[in-house]
Amino acid sequence: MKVRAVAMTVIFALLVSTIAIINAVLPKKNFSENENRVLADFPKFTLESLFTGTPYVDDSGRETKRIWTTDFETYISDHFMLRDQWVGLKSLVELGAQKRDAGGVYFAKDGYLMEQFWSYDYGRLKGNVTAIKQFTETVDQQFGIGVKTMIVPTANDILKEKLPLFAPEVDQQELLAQMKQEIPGFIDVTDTLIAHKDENIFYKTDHHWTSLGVYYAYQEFCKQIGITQKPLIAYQPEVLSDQFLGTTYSKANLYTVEPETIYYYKSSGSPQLKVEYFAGGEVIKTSDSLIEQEYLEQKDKYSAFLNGNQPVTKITTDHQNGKKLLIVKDSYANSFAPFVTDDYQEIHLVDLRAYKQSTLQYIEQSGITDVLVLYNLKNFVEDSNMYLLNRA
Amino acid sequence: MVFSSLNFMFVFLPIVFGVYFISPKKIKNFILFIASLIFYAWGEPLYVLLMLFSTLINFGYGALVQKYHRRKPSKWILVSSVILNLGILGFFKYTDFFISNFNAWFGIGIPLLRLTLPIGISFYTFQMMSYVIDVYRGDARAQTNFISFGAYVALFPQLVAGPIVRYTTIADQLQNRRESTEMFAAGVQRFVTGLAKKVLLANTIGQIWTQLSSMDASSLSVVGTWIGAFAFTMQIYFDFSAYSDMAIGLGQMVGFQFLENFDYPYISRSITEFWRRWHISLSTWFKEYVYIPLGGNRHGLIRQIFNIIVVWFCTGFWHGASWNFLFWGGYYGVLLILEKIFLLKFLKKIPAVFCHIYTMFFVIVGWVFFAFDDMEKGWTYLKGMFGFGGLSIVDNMSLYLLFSNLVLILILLAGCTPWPARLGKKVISAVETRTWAAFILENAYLLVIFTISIAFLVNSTYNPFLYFRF
Repeated sequence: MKVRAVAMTVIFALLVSTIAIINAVLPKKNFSENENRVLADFPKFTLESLFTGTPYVDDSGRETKRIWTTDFETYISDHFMLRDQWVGLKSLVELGAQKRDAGGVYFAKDGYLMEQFWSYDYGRLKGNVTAIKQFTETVDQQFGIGVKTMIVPTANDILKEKLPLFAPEVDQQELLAQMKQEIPGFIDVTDTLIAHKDENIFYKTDHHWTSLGVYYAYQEFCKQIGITQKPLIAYQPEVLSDQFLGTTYSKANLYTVEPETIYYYKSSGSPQLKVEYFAGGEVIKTSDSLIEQEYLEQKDKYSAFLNGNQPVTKITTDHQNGKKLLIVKDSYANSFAPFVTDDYQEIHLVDLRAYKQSTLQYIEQSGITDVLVLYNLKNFVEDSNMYLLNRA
Repeated sequence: MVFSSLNFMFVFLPIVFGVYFISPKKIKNFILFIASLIFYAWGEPLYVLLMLFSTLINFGYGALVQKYHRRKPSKWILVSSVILNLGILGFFKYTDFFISNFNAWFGIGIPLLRLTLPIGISFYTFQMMSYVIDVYRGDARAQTNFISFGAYVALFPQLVAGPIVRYTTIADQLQNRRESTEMFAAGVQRFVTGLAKKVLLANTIGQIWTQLSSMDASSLSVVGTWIGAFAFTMQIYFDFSAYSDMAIGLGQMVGFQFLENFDYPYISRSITEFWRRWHISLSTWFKEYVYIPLGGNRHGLIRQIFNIIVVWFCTGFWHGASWNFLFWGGYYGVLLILEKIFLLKFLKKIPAVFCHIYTMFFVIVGWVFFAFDDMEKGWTYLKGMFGFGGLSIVDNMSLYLLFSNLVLILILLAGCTPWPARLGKKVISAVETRTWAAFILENAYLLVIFTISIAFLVNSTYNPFLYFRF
């Protein structure tokens, strides 16, 4: 008995103190690639920070105060040794315990990691639909342009047979049916995507669609807007990275998942391009490529398409056809835009989450000839900036 | 500070234990006292002064009661100490409850104080009251050393969530305790088991309850509401008893032997038995210091019923300053009276399985009242459970939660019974003669659950921020 008690005491004491010492002496990282966020600095100790706390803005946007000890705990956990590995271990345990999700992400069939989409705010959806409807009417009256709206169902809907049994998902088709009824010029890509659901049209470890998925949706877009469709062989698939582990991977942190390949479908016509990124009306960056290579070395590889989410992006091609497309969008459009570079002289992308000026004025000033609103369904339902569309 | 945090286990604990075990015996209580104050001040940098103030006052009261022992003034000293202790507790915990009800009844608008409740005030106040009363009764001698008394009150293992350690239990241990590797190892086992119960079981099932209870009750299904109620039932037991396990384990590591606080309450065959097994230190406190002084069962049935009602409203109110807790207390009062009058006799005659069903039914319904501060919400939820809410019988959400957590649910159910612990003991005693086998088994088991617990703790702070550019 005595021997075993000594052994257990020693093991516990050694284990705890070793971890404590390693944590204390470990060099500190200041950025977590996997979490895509800056890690906490050692909090500065003052009497004020201890007793009244330092102000900060919490998740719900409320201003409140946080005392020093709380910051200290955040610091300890942010810099805990082997942080990502611990998190991965948790997912493995949950997978082993037959759990069907971790971190809000399903372990779906064939290695798909899909974000849960269990509920939505009906009022917000209503508001967003109304905003688009009104926008469409205004644009039609003022500029005689028929706005097209493409709300893309996510993998959870198109690949729903891969979801775990009884997954209490929002019925995306029901929502799409409503939108179709209310929004003029609605482009429904469900059938097209479903027809190709056995191909690799969504990433397994990310919430985005793959370039192949985009291609099929683009065919539908061409059909609706009256552009000649191009066969898949007109493109040269280029591998951007074969080490992609995206957002749903970051959330679930499941070791067993293999990295994926990001393809970029380059048009064989490859037009000469000029890409300009704007912020606050100023050009902040120009490029002659739709792909920003630097992201491919980082975690956030999907952002290689058009430099991630930028407030305003302008692409100028060498097609002197006078056609100018405005895309009001979320990140789904970043991999969509490359396809339309074959069809337009200018493509403008506006992200309402960062662009707060008048979209209507933008149409007028830039001489836009076509307008597309492009979101994935989940983002669209949850978006809180749609009202900005109608800003005069 | 909470035990189940990286900060406690990998910063506080190694430093405090390191200092504690190299210190000479004479200053060990002092080390514990200081460590406990830091432990408390960590979350409550200001209210630690309130706790110190209470400690000082009660230390004084103890000495005074001792001085006038068995003489007339001692009674008045005792009464004033009780009034003062309850006054402080009442002021910080119940003032806003009374003001808001007063406002509602008379249609006036006295502003609320909006004080945050000092952590653990209900626990440490009760501990100190037990001290003064025990000294008054002659069950304990007043502590003459303030450091020892402070260490008793603030002792970090049991400070914020019990067990409510009566002074008589550890009076002797405060002066003459001997830490040993046997006790330390037993403490490690107990602590790690508690940690795993809290982090792996209670927190995980708790998420289901959080999810279901935050949804609009009308969007659930009947099965869903029962899954929710089950989840809360499990969460509160595994959470609370895990805290007691960790407290008892930490106490053992530094040489204290606390009394048990939980004894598999969910295997009870009656509500009476349930309350002998649930939060034992609290029921004991109320029995010792309220029920028996009121006369207990010595003055006839009517008086006994009255005493039970008083004790159970107090018990309910102790859990929180809102009507649902009062109701919950009264609900148990009524059940216990009914059992006393006739139900217990009846329960003895029927097969055990019905007794278990009967008990858990009322316990689970009780937790629904307990869980909703807003009684109207609790009532709506309960109506849903019994098919009066117009809910569908079953939906995807409930089936998904059920199947996705099947393994967890089975572990929880097993964990409510003494069988897993018995099995563990059997396995160990089977290999007792071969020290190395027992050594490997017990340490491997603890290492595995400890490692997984750390993984879950690290994960709880894992916060992927996917759109940080906005």
